[in-house]
Amino acid sequence: MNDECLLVEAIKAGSTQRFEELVDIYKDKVYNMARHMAGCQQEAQDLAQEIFLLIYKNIHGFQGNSSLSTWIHRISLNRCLDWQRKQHRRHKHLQTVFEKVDGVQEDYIESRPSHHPTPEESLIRKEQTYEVRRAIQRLPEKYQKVMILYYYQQMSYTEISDVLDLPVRTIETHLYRARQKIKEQLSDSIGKGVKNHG
Amino acid sequence: MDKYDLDSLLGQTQYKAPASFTDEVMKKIYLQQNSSQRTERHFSAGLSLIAAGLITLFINITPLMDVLINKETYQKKLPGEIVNSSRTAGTIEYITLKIDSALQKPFEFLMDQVIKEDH
Repeated sequence: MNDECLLVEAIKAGSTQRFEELVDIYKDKVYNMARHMAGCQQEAQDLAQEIFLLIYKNIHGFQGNSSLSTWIHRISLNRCLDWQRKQHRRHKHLQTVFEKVDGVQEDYIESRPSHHPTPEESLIRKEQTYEVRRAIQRLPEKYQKVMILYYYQQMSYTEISDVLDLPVRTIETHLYRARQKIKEQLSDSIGKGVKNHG
Repeated sequence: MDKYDLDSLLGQTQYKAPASFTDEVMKKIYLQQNSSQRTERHFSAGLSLIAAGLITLFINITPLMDVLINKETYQKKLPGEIVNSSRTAGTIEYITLKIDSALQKPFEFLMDQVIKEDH
Protein backbone atom coordinates (compact mmCIF):
# COMPACT_ATOMS: atom_id res chain seq x y z
CA MET A 1 0.00 0.00 0.00
CA ASN A 2 1.55 3.33 -1.04
CA ASP A 3 1.54 6.62 0.90
CA GLU A 4 -1.45 7.93 -1.01
CA CYS A 5 -3.56 4.88 -0.15
CA LEU A 6 -2.50 5.07 3.49
CA LEU A 7 -3.45 8.74 3.59
CA VAL A 8 -6.88 8.07 2.11
CA GLU A 9 -7.50 5.08 4.37
CA ALA A 10 -6.59 7.14 7.45
CA ILE A 11 -8.97 9.92 6.37
CA LYS A 12 -11.72 7.39 5.72
CA ALA A 13 -11.13 6.06 9.25
CA GLY A 14 -11.78 9.58 10.55
CA SER A 15 -8.33 11.12 10.94
CA THR A 16 -8.70 14.87 10.53
CA GLN A 17 -4.96 15.27 11.03
CA ARG A 18 -4.28 13.28 7.87
CA PHE A 19 -6.89 15.33 6.05
CA GLU A 20 -4.96 18.42 7.06
CA GLU A 21 -1.94 16.86 5.33
CA LEU A 22 -4.01 16.34 2.20
CA VAL A 23 -5.12 19.99 2.25
CA ASP A 24 -1.49 21.06 2.58
CA ILE A 25 -0.46 18.94 -0.39
CA TYR A 26 -3.22 20.02 -2.77
CA LYS A 27 -4.15 23.51 -1.58
CA ASP A 28 -2.10 25.37 -4.19
CA LYS A 29 -3.43 23.30 -7.09
CA VAL A 30 -7.05 23.67 -5.97
CA TYR A 31 -6.70 27.33 -5.08
CA ASN A 32 -5.01 28.09 -8.40
CA MET A 33 -7.97 26.68 -10.32
CA ALA A 34 -10.49 28.45 -8.10
CA ARG A 35 -8.58 31.71 -8.40
CA HIS A 36 -8.46 31.55 -12.19
CA MET A 37 -12.16 30.76 -12.32
CA ALA A 38 -13.39 33.19 -9.70
CA GLY A 39 -11.06 36.04 -10.51
CA CYS A 40 -11.27 37.57 -7.07
CA GLN A 41 -9.11 36.39 -4.18
CA GLN A 42 -11.87 36.20 -1.56
CA GLU A 43 -14.29 34.31 -3.77
CA ALA A 44 -11.50 31.97 -4.86
CA GLN A 45 -10.69 31.24 -1.23
CA ASP A 46 -14.34 30.44 -0.47
CA LEU A 47 -14.62 28.28 -3.56
CA ALA A 48 -11.39 26.38 -2.78
CA GLN A 49 -12.53 25.81 0.82
CA GLU A 50 -15.84 24.50 -0.46
CA ILE A 51 -13.97 22.10 -2.74
CA PHE A 52 -11.99 20.71 0.21
CA LEU A 53 -15.20 20.26 2.22
CA LEU A 54 -16.62 18.39 -0.74
CA ILE A 55 -13.49 16.22 -0.88
CA TYR A 56 -13.82 15.48 2.84
CA LYS A 57 -17.49 14.53 2.47
CA ASN A 58 -16.89 12.34 -0.56
CA ILE A 59 -13.60 10.71 0.38
CA HIS A 60 -15.46 7.45 1.08
CA GLY A 61 -16.37 7.39 -2.60
CA PHE A 62 -12.72 7.36 -3.64
CA GLN A 63 -12.07 3.80 -4.76
CA GLY A 64 -8.49 4.20 -5.90
CA ASN A 65 -9.32 3.57 -9.56
CA SER A 66 -7.43 6.74 -10.43
CA SER A 67 -4.73 8.62 -8.55
CA LEU A 68 -5.79 10.89 -5.70
CA SER A 69 -4.55 13.91 -7.62
CA THR A 70 -6.71 13.01 -10.63
CA TRP A 71 -9.73 12.52 -8.41
CA ILE A 72 -9.18 15.85 -6.63
CA HIS A 73 -8.74 17.65 -9.97
CA ARG A 74 -11.96 16.09 -11.23
CA ILE A 75 -13.91 17.26 -8.17
CA SER A 76 -12.33 20.73 -8.33
CA LEU A 77 -13.07 21.13 -12.02
CA ASN A 78 -16.70 20.09 -11.68
CA ARG A 79 -17.23 22.30 -8.64
CA CYS A 80 -15.61 25.29 -10.37
CA LEU A 81 -17.84 24.83 -13.41
CA ASP A 82 -20.90 24.55 -11.14
CA TRP A 83 -19.85 27.75 -9.45
CA GLN A 84 -19.47 29.45 -12.82
CA ARG A 85 -22.92 28.30 -13.95
CA LYS A 86 -24.45 29.66 -10.75
CA GLN A 87 -22.65 32.97 -11.23
CA HIS A 88 -24.03 33.24 -14.76
CA ARG A 89 -27.53 32.51 -13.54
CA ARG A 90 -27.54 34.60 -10.38
CA HIS A 91 -25.53 37.70 -10.94
CA LYS A 92 -24.57 38.14 -14.56
CA HIS A 93 -21.79 40.34 -13.31
CA LEU A 94 -18.73 38.57 -14.62
CA GLN A 95 -17.28 41.81 -15.80
CA THR A 96 -17.04 43.13 -12.24
CA VAL A 97 -15.63 39.81 -11.04
CA PHE A 98 -12.81 39.92 -13.54
CA GLU A 99 -12.16 43.57 -12.93
CA LYS A 100 -11.21 42.55 -9.41
CA VAL A 101 -8.34 40.49 -10.86
CA ASP A 102 -6.47 43.66 -11.59
CA GLY A 103 -6.52 44.76 -7.99
CA VAL A 104 -4.95 41.91 -6.07
CA GLN A 105 -1.59 40.50 -7.09
CA GLU A 106 -0.10 39.28 -3.82
CA ASP A 107 -0.98 35.61 -4.19
CA TYR A 108 1.04 34.94 -7.32
CA ILE A 109 3.39 32.04 -6.90
CA GLU A 110 5.02 32.34 -10.26
CA SER A 111 4.95 34.91 -13.00
CA ARG A 112 6.94 34.66 -16.18
CA PRO A 113 7.01 38.00 -17.95
CA SER A 114 9.75 38.08 -20.56
CA HIS A 115 10.57 41.69 -19.72
CA HIS A 116 9.32 44.44 -17.44
CA PRO A 117 6.22 45.74 -19.21
CA THR A 118 5.41 49.41 -19.48
CA PRO A 119 2.12 50.53 -17.89
CA GLU A 120 0.55 50.65 -21.33
CA GLU A 121 1.69 47.08 -22.15
CA SER A 122 0.44 45.93 -18.79
CA LEU A 123 -2.97 47.42 -19.38
CA ILE A 124 -3.25 45.85 -22.81
CA ARG A 125 -2.26 42.45 -21.41
CA LYS A 126 -4.88 42.71 -18.69
CA GLU A 127 -7.53 43.56 -21.23
CA GLN A 128 -6.45 40.67 -23.43
CA THR A 129 -6.41 38.23 -20.52
CA TYR A 130 -9.86 39.39 -19.52
CA GLU A 131 -11.16 38.91 -23.06
CA VAL A 132 -9.60 35.46 -23.34
CA ARG A 133 -11.12 34.36 -20.05
CA ARG A 134 -14.51 35.63 -21.15
CA ALA A 135 -14.07 33.72 -24.41
CA ILE A 136 -13.22 30.53 -22.49
CA GLN A 137 -16.37 30.92 -20.43
CA ARG A 138 -18.43 31.11 -23.57
CA LEU A 139 -17.02 27.81 -24.88
CA PRO A 140 -19.00 24.56 -24.64
CA GLU A 141 -18.22 22.84 -21.34
CA LYS A 142 -16.17 20.00 -22.86
CA TYR A 143 -13.76 22.55 -24.37
CA GLN A 144 -13.74 24.68 -21.22
CA LYS A 145 -12.59 21.71 -19.15
CA VAL A 146 -9.64 21.05 -21.43
CA MET A 147 -8.66 24.72 -21.53
CA ILE A 148 -8.81 25.08 -17.74
CA LEU A 149 -6.70 22.01 -17.11
CA TYR A 150 -4.19 22.79 -19.85
CA TYR A 151 -3.69 26.52 -19.35
CA TYR A 152 -4.66 27.25 -15.74
CA GLN A 153 -3.45 23.98 -14.18
CA GLN A 154 -0.57 23.47 -16.62
CA MET A 155 -1.39 19.79 -16.99
CA SER A 156 -0.07 17.52 -19.73
CA TYR A 157 -2.34 15.82 -22.29
CA THR A 158 -1.97 12.53 -20.43
CA GLU A 159 -2.93 14.07 -17.08
CA ILE A 160 -5.94 15.80 -18.66
CA SER A 161 -6.92 12.54 -20.29
CA ASP A 162 -6.88 10.86 -16.85
CA VAL A 163 -8.95 13.59 -15.21
CA LEU A 164 -11.55 13.73 -17.97
CA ASP A 165 -11.41 10.03 -18.73
CA LEU A 166 -10.99 10.69 -22.44
CA PRO A 167 -8.36 9.48 -24.93
CA VAL A 168 -5.34 11.75 -25.44
CA ARG A 169 -6.30 12.15 -29.09
CA THR A 170 -9.69 13.57 -28.06
CA ILE A 171 -8.00 15.99 -25.68
CA GLU A 172 -5.79 17.23 -28.53
CA THR A 173 -8.82 17.66 -30.75
CA HIS A 174 -10.79 19.48 -28.06
CA LEU A 175 -7.87 21.78 -27.38
CA TYR A 176 -7.44 22.52 -31.06
CA ARG A 177 -11.15 23.26 -31.51
CA ALA A 178 -11.26 25.34 -28.34
CA ARG A 179 -8.37 27.47 -29.63
CA GLN A 180 -10.12 27.85 -32.96
CA LYS A 181 -13.31 28.99 -31.28
CA ILE A 182 -11.44 31.44 -29.08
CA LYS A 183 -9.63 32.73 -32.13
CA GLU A 184 -12.98 33.33 -33.83
CA GLN A 185 -14.38 35.07 -30.77
CA LEU A 186 -11.35 37.26 -30.28
CA SER A 187 -10.60 38.02 -33.89
CA ASP A 188 -12.20 41.44 -33.49
CA SER A 189 -11.45 42.64 -29.99
CA ILE A 190 -7.95 41.32 -29.24
CA GLY A 191 -6.87 41.35 -32.88
CA LYS A 192 -7.51 45.07 -32.99
CA GLY A 193 -5.84 45.57 -29.63
CA VAL A 194 -2.69 43.77 -30.70
CA LYS A 195 -2.58 45.65 -34.00
CA ASN A 196 -2.98 48.99 -32.24
CA HIS A 197 -0.30 48.05 -29.77
CA GLY A 198 2.07 46.89 -32.49
CA MET B 1 -4.33 34.91 -31.52
CA ASP B 2 -2.25 31.74 -31.83
CA LYS B 3 -1.30 29.10 -29.27
CA TYR B 4 1.65 31.11 -28.01
CA ASP B 5 -0.47 34.13 -27.21
CA LEU B 6 -2.79 31.97 -25.13
CA ASP B 7 0.19 30.43 -23.38
CA SER B 8 1.54 33.80 -22.43
CA LEU B 9 -1.82 35.24 -21.43
CA LEU B 10 -3.21 32.35 -19.45
CA GLY B 11 -0.32 30.18 -18.41
CA GLN B 12 1.93 32.85 -16.99
CA THR B 13 0.33 33.01 -13.58
CA GLN B 14 0.10 30.30 -10.95
CA TYR B 15 -1.58 31.30 -7.73
CA LYS B 16 -0.53 30.20 -4.27
CA ALA B 17 -3.10 29.59 -1.52
CA PRO B 18 -2.96 32.11 1.33
CA ALA B 19 -0.90 31.10 4.38
CA SER B 20 -3.95 30.62 6.60
CA PHE B 21 -5.79 28.51 4.04
CA THR B 22 -5.31 25.09 5.66
CA ASP B 23 -6.37 26.42 9.07
CA GLU B 24 -9.50 27.95 7.58
CA VAL B 25 -10.44 24.68 5.88
CA MET B 26 -9.84 22.68 9.05
CA LYS B 27 -11.95 25.10 11.08
CA LYS B 28 -14.83 24.51 8.67
CA ILE B 29 -14.32 20.74 8.85
CA TYR B 30 -14.47 20.76 12.69
CA LEU B 31 -17.48 23.06 12.60
CA GLN B 32 -19.28 20.78 10.19
CA GLN B 33 -18.46 17.69 12.26
CA ASN B 34 -19.83 19.31 15.42
CA SER B 35 -22.93 20.57 13.70
CA SER B 36 -23.74 17.17 12.16
CA GLN B 37 -23.27 15.45 15.54
CA ARG B 38 -25.56 18.04 17.14
CA THR B 39 -28.18 17.51 14.43
CA GLU B 40 -28.05 13.74 14.97
CA ARG B 41 -28.50 14.18 18.73
CA HIS B 42 -31.46 16.51 18.21
CA PHE B 43 -32.97 14.13 15.70
CA SER B 44 -32.84 11.16 18.05
CA ALA B 45 -34.13 13.25 20.96
CA GLY B 46 -37.02 14.44 18.77
CA LEU B 47 -37.83 10.89 17.72
CA SER B 48 -37.80 9.68 21.32
CA LEU B 49 -40.17 12.47 22.31
CA ILE B 50 -42.59 11.65 19.50
CA ALA B 51 -42.49 7.94 20.35
CA ALA B 52 -43.11 8.71 24.03
CA GLY B 53 -46.02 10.98 23.08
CA LEU B 54 -47.59 8.29 20.96
CA ILE B 55 -47.20 5.66 23.68
CA THR B 56 -48.88 8.01 26.17
CA LEU B 57 -51.64 8.65 23.68
CA PHE B 58 -52.33 4.94 23.20
CA ILE B 59 -52.24 4.28 26.94
CA ASN B 60 -54.82 7.00 27.42
CA ILE B 61 -56.93 5.76 24.54
CA THR B 62 -57.31 2.26 26.00
CA PRO B 63 -59.63 3.15 28.94
CA LEU B 64 -61.53 5.46 26.65
CA MET B 65 -62.05 2.60 24.23
CA ASP B 66 -63.27 0.40 27.10
CA VAL B 67 -65.86 2.99 27.94
CA LEU B 68 -66.93 3.23 24.30
CA ILE B 69 -67.12 -0.55 23.94
CA ASN B 70 -69.24 -0.86 27.06
CA LYS B 71 -71.51 1.92 25.93
CA GLU B 72 -71.88 0.41 22.45
CA THR B 73 -72.36 -3.13 23.72
CA TYR B 74 -75.28 -2.48 26.03
CA GLN B 75 -76.97 0.04 23.82
CA LYS B 76 -79.95 -1.29 21.95
CA LYS B 77 -79.50 -1.06 18.19
CA LEU B 78 -83.12 -1.62 17.37
CA PRO B 79 -85.99 -2.02 19.75
CA GLY B 80 -85.73 -5.53 21.17
CA GLU B 81 -82.32 -6.28 19.60
CA ILE B 82 -79.03 -6.22 21.51
CA VAL B 83 -75.74 -5.76 19.68
CA ASN B 84 -73.35 -8.72 19.80
CA SER B 85 -70.88 -7.48 22.44
CA SER B 86 -67.89 -9.71 21.68
CA ARG B 87 -68.11 -8.99 17.96
CA THR B 88 -68.18 -5.21 18.43
CA ALA B 89 -65.31 -5.32 20.90
CA GLY B 90 -63.31 -7.49 18.54
CA THR B 91 -63.89 -5.13 15.61
CA ILE B 92 -62.90 -2.04 17.60
CA GLU B 93 -59.82 -3.75 18.97
CA TYR B 94 -58.84 -4.89 15.49
CA ILE B 95 -59.21 -1.35 14.11
CA THR B 96 -57.25 0.12 17.01
CA LEU B 97 -54.42 -2.34 16.56
CA LYS B 98 -54.29 -1.61 12.83
CA ILE B 99 -54.07 2.15 13.45
CA ASP B 100 -51.50 1.59 16.17
CA SER B 101 -49.27 -0.54 13.96
CA ALA B 102 -49.59 1.82 10.98
CA LEU B 103 -48.61 4.79 13.13
CA GLN B 104 -45.67 3.02 14.69
CA LYS B 105 -44.13 1.75 11.45
CA PRO B 106 -42.43 4.99 10.27
CA PHE B 107 -41.08 5.65 13.76
CA GLU B 108 -39.71 2.12 14.06
CA PHE B 109 -38.04 2.55 10.69
CA LEU B 110 -36.50 5.90 11.71
CA MET B 111 -35.31 4.51 15.02
CA ASP B 112 -33.67 1.58 13.19
CA GLN B 113 -31.87 4.03 10.94
CA VAL B 114 -30.61 6.04 13.93
CA ILE B 115 -29.44 2.88 15.71
CA LYS B 116 -27.67 1.69 12.55
CA GLU B 117 -25.92 5.07 12.17
CA ASP B 118 -24.84 5.01 15.82
CA HIS B 119 -23.21 1.62 15.27
